[in-house]
Amino acid sequence: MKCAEAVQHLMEADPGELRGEQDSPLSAHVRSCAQCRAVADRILEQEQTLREMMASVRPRVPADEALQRAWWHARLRSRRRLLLGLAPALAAAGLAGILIVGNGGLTPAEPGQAIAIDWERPPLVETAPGQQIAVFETDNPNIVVVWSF
Amino acid sequence: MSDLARLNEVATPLAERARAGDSEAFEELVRESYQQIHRWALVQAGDPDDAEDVTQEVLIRLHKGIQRFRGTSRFTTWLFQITRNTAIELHRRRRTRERLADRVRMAHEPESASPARPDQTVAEYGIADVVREFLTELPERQREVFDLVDLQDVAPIDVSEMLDLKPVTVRANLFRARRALRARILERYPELTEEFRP
Repeated sequence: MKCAEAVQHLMEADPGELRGEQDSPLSAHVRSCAQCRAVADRILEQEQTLREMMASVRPRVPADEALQRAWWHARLRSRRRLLLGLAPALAAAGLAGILIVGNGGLTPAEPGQAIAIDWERPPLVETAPGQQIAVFETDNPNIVVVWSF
Repeated sequence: MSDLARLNEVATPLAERARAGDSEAFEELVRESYQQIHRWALVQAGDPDDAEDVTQEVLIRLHKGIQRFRGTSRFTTWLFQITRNTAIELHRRRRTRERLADRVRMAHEPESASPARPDQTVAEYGIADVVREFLTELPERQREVFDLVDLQDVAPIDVSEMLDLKPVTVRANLFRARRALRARILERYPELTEEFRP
């Protein structure tokens, strides 16, 4: 095998062939030709760097924090489904009011008024008849947008 | 034993317990799988920021879907497919949002700065040229195959199951990935091959 041909094969060969470990014409050439072995060694070295760096890349968020966020999002989504499921029933019942958020009681929210929500007791959201509710989570876990339309 | 084989060995009994409702087992399962999920997400998304989002979403889906793990396939195969589907879905959603944002921007701010490209984000991540090229130069399918076969030592036949591809397609993608990546490596060391050029 000539060097030019060997280099072409080196571009697709398995790592074992690049190391000259296999019983193939390419491996035999790499074992006997210093120049092609230098090419193969450089490829192996760079791919080893890639292997090590990919193995060492860590997420920025630690696992336990990501887990807490996942729990939080899962809870939020299940509440959102609950709220969306309740919307037609509440509308059909003809309940008045634009939007009422409270912890068990009926405490109308003023525009701009912050409401402390105890997630152990999910807030009650009601719409006027014929209206829909959409609940959007935000990047801030303390902010949920409730849209009545 | 490869890292992936070790993960499979550790995670499978944890997944069984988590499926039965053991929340401590689920948390342990996440801790064991977390880095691998992130690695797959990074390979599939090609961008560290997107990889973080995909990883987070996979944990939510894992929590929701652990009941569906029946042990008929390897845990790592099942987890890989969740990660892959999540990455594809988030990528699609992001593209839709970007298209909408572009329309709004074009309508209101014709001279606004363009958003950061993935290769810029990867460069900011502070990683070697070979990793940057791997993440930004290769198409997604080639990245996945190369990562699994050459970097994580998964047998091509197993990769064909994980990616739902014919073995011949896996090999074709592997060869294309090697050729592209090795060409970029040799471009950085022209003295090695100058004598072979016509």
